Amino acid sequence: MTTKATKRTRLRAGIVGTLFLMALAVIGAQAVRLHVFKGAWLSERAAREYERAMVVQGKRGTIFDRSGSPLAMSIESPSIAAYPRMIADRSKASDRLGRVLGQPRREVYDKLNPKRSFVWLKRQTIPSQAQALRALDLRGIDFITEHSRYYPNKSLAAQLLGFSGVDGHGLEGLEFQFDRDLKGHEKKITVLKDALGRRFEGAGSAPLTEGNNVVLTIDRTIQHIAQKALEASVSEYGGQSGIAIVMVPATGEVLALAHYPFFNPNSYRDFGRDLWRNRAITDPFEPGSTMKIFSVAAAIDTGICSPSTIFYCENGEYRIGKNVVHDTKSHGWLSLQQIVKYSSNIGSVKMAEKLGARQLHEYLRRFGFGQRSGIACPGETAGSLSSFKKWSAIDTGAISFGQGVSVSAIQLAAAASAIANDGVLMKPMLVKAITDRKGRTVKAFAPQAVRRVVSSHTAKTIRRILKTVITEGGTGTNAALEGYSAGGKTGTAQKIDESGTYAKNRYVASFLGFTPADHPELTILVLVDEPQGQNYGGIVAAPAFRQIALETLSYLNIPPGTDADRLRVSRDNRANG
Amino acid sequence: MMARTLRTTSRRVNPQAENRRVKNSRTDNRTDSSGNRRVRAPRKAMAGVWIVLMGLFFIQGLFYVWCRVQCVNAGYGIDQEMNRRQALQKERSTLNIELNWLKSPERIETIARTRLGLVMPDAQQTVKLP
Repeated sequence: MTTKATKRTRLRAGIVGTLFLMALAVIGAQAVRLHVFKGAWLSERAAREYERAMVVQGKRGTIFDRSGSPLAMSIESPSIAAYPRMIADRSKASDRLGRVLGQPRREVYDKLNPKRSFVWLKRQTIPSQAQALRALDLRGIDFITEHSRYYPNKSLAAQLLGFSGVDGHGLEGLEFQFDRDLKGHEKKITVLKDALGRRFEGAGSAPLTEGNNVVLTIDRTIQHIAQKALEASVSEYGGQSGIAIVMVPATGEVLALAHYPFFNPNSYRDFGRDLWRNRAITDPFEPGSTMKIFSVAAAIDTGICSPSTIFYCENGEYRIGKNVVHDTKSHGWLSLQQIVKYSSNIGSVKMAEKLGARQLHEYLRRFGFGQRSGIACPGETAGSLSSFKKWSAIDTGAISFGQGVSVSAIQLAAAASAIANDGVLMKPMLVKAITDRKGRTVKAFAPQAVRRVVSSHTAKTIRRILKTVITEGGTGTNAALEGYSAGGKTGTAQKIDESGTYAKNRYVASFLGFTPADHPELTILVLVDEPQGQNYGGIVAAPAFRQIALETLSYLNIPPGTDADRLRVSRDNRANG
Repeated sequence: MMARTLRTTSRRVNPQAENRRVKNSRTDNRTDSSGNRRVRAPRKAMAGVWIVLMGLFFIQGLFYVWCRVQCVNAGYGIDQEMNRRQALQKERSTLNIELNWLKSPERIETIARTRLGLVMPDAQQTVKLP
C-alpha cells in the first residue's frame, strides 16, 4: 500500500514538474524571441517613447569693441518644438497653437504630422509668446532654450558687424568672416522624457562649448561720432548714402567705419539687401581729386617735381586730342603746391605728363590701388587700375586726378595713412584679437607694415602741401579745426551713368585728411554719394571731417596745439586736487 | 590534551549510524551514540544556503531599484539645477545688456546735451594743465 501511494505521489509530482518545465520552456522561448530576434525593434520602439535626439549649438562668441563693450552678443531665447506623436488631438492643438504663434492653422497642422517624431514650431521666439504657450499646457509641446544674436547698439557699425541667421551661422560682415571662430560647437544630445512627459537630460550631457570672442579695433564712441556726423552731412545735402572711416595712421587700426543709411541687424529682414553691404570695403568708385595726393607724392618722390615747380594751367581749358580737361576756376601759372590747394585738374594732367604713365602707375600700385588691402572683411574689392601700357595720353592725365581709376574707401584711407605715417603703408586692421570665453587671448593681430611707399621727406612735404588746402583760398577751408592743425584734400568725382558716360548731376563728394598735421593721430575719410544742390567735397564732406576730427581728438584726450600732453580740463569745470 | 581527546572522539563515530544519516534526513538533528556532537544533514544545509542566497538576491534587487530611483531623482535634480543656472545666466545677460545700454555714447550724449545742457568744449575752453 505504501509503495502504491508513493508511486502515485511520485507520478503526480512528475506531471506537475513536467507542466512547470513546459511552462518554463515556453517562457524561455518567448524571452529568447523578444530579446534575440525582436530585441532591436523593441528597443527602438521603447526609445521612441522616452528618448528625443536633437542637435544643439554652443553659445556664439561675442564681438567686442576695443574697450571691451559688446557690439554683438548671444542671448538666450525660447524656441518652441513639438513631438507630434504625443499630441492627441492634432486639429485642436493646431488651432490653439496657430492663434498664439500667429501662424496659419493649416501650416501648424501640417507641421504636426505624426510621422515626424520632432518638429520646430517657432525658433527663437519672444518670451511673452513662450509664456502664452506655456499657459495652454499642451501635451507634446516643448520649450527649448536656444541662443539668438543680439546687437545692443542697434545700427552702430551694423554694416561692419553684419549679422547671423537663426541657426547661429554668420551671414554677413564680420559675423560671416569670423564664423568659424565665433560659432559654438554643435552637439547631438539625447533628451529623455519620463511617463509624465517631464524632460531631463541623460548622462553624458556635458556642457556645450562656447565660441571664441572677437575683439575689434573699432571704438564705439568714435563710431558713434562718425555715424552722427555722416548722418548729418548726408541728410543736409540729400545724398543717397555716405561712408566715413577713422583710422590710426601709425598702426592701420580702423577706429570707426560708418555707413549711412543705417540698418538694424536685430531685424535685418526689414531692410533692403543694399543696406547690408559693407560698401567701404566692397564697392569701388572713382575717387576724383583726392587722388591728386598720391600723384603729387609720386612726382615729388621721384624728384621730377618739387612743391614750387610751376605749371601753366591754360586758363581752365586744356585739350588733349579729342578730349578737353576743365578746371572749376580758370588758373594761369600755378606751383605744384597751388595745384593741390586749388585742385587744378589741368595742373595735375601737366604734372602727370611730366611724370610719365609708368612712374604714375608704379606709385599708385605702391599706395595699394588696384589690389586688395587684405583687411579682414568679406568681399573686398581690389578696385581697378589697368596696366599703364593700355593708357592713352588722356588716361594718364585723368588717372592723376582720379578719373579712369576706381578704388575702395578703405584703400583711400590706407593710402592717405601712408602719407600721415611718414611714407609707410600699413595694412588696415579691424580685428585686434580673438579670445576664448574666459577672455584669454587665442590669437593676437599686430599692426603690419606693408611697404614703404615714399620717403619720409616726401611724406612730410605732402603733409605740408595738404595743410594749405584748408587755409584761405583752398578748397577745404570747411575742414579747418580750431586749435588743431590738419591737412587734407577735397574730392568731387563725377559718376558714370548707365550709358557709360559721366553723368552731369551725379557726384561723389569726399574729403580725405589727417590731424594733427605734423604728427597725425587720425586719418579721416568722409564720402557722400550723390549730394543734391551742392556737390563739392569741400562743402558737403569737409564739415563732417571737421566734426569727426574735433570730437574724436577731444575724446582721445589729445590737447589742442600739441599732441604730447594728453591731460586736459574744460575751463568751465572746476578741477580739484 | 583537550584537542587530542576531541579528535579521538570523532574517530569513534559509529559507521552504521553515519550510513543511516545519509539515507534518511529525518535523523538530521540526532546526536551520535557518544552524544558529543550534533551533525547537520547535507540537504538541510543546502536549504539554508538557498535561503541565504535568495535573501541576498532579494536585497540586491531592492538595492538595484533604490539605485535606479536615486539615479532618476538625481537626473531631475540636475535638470532643476541646470534650469536655475540658466535663469541666473539669463539674468546676468539681461543686466549686462542694460549696463551696455546705460553706457552707450548715444544715450550719454543725449542726456548731456538735453538734460544737462552741456556742449563740446572748443579749443578756447580747453586748458592744458602743466
